[in-house]
Amino acid sequence: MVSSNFNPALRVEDKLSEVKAKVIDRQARAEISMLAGKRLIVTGCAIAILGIVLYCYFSFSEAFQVGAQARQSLVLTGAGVLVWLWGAVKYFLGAIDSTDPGELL
Amino acid sequence: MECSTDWSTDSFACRTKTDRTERKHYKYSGFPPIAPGRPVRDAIGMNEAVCSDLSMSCQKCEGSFAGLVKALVAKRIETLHPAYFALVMATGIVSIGCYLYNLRDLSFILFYVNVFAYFCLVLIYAIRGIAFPASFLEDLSSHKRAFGFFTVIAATNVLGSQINLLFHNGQLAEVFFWIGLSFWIVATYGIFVLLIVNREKPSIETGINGGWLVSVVATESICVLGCQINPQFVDSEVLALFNLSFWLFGGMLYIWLISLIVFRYMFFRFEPTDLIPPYWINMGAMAITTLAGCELARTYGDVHPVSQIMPFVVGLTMMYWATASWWIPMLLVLGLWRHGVKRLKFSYDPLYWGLVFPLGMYSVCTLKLGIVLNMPVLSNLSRLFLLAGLIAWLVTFLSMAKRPLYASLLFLLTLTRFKEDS
Repeated sequence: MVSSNFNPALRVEDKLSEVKAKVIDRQARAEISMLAGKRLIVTGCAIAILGIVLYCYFSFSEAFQVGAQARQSLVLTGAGVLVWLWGAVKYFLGAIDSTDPGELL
Repeated sequence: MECSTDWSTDSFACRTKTDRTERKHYKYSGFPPIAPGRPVRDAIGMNEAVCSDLSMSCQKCEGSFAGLVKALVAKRIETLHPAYFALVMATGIVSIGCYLYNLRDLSFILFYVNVFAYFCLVLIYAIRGIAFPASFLEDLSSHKRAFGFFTVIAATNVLGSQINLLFHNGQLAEVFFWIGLSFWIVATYGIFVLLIVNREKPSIETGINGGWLVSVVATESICVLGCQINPQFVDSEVLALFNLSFWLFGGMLYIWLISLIVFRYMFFRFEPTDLIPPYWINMGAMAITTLAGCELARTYGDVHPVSQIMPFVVGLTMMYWATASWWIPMLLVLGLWRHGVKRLKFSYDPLYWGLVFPLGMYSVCTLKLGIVLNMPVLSNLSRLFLLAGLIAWLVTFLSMAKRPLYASLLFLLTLTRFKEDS
């Protein structure tokens, strides 16, 4: 016996909205990931450049004696590159999921 | 490409937009995108689109994922730009600059990156020459791309200089010198002849660009390494004459080519897209000629015939350095016009290595000129350009790393989903 409340058109519509919501949710997550990735890319690049500038500054001012500060600056550059890498992976994973990957590179 | 209902959740996306998205993925990574919920067989089924994008026959893909990957990698190798060795030139000169300023850690890191890049590129060029002789020969006789092969010579000599400077291994550096010299003979008397006898020639507007000056860089690099290692195969007077000749006809080649380039600048329409990064070689070629002049003066200053014309050598070297310095503001203003006024977006191109090399070379040549002229004040300018070269190297390297990173991510995701599906 079929219930009097059963409406097949309504069930299809519910299913459709559920799937649509999933798509929007996935797209939103992808966009958030891309945005966060982009920020990390810029931050990582800035940190790496800062590291290079400091490395040169300390090395040049130490009269041809590379000291601990210069080496620490080099570590800072490495850290910047790692942040950049993390951001790039985050951005690309978002871009792969997204229907609009924007300007990839 | 038709809209497929099998594409699960993606069927809600605008089909045209999805097409565009996929083409973008192919363009940048060479691998098809696999969105969550999309069966891998659809991605493999998209071979046809990939093939048409890459203008190749779909039979090459063999209808499988492995076949597709093989075909894509083969296509990348087939279309590799001959000027890719500029990566080694740029890394090498920045490393040498760091070494001269006692930035040893960075210098050695860059040296190991350079050795890896050099041998990878040698392998890829060899594969390209054997597997795709037609494209290889086409590049050799192309007015636009042929001069890219001169980067192989300059890269070999720069690596030789690094080995000589960083490890004091003159014997190994000499091996690189002979390899560079052999390539120089083949490239100079091969490429120039091929371009001269070519039946179909482009107009000067489309045919010439700053990349032509890499032939000057290659010629001068022979003189620089020749002076640094001072190979003892004949007596020093003959060697001095040999290196002096390379320095002089390298300079003459610059005068011929730069006249054509300036003529193209002044009398033909110049779009922002025409200002490709190798235009910085206008300055880089002068910088390496200055360095060669300094090395000549330092090594053979007391040896006949250089000793007889020392004021001429030093004077001409000064002129080259002044010309290189004149180009810098001009190139900066043109760059500002390209990216600032015309809003051309920066995106990675292997030709950007042709911008990093001149910065590093200007730093090294200014330092050496300061030593020859006994003017320590020049070292401040040299340091500034070394810093600029290092930053430019880092930014270009990170931009270059994006594509293989993206391709690897897509490849891994595709492989995982392929395994799940099967």
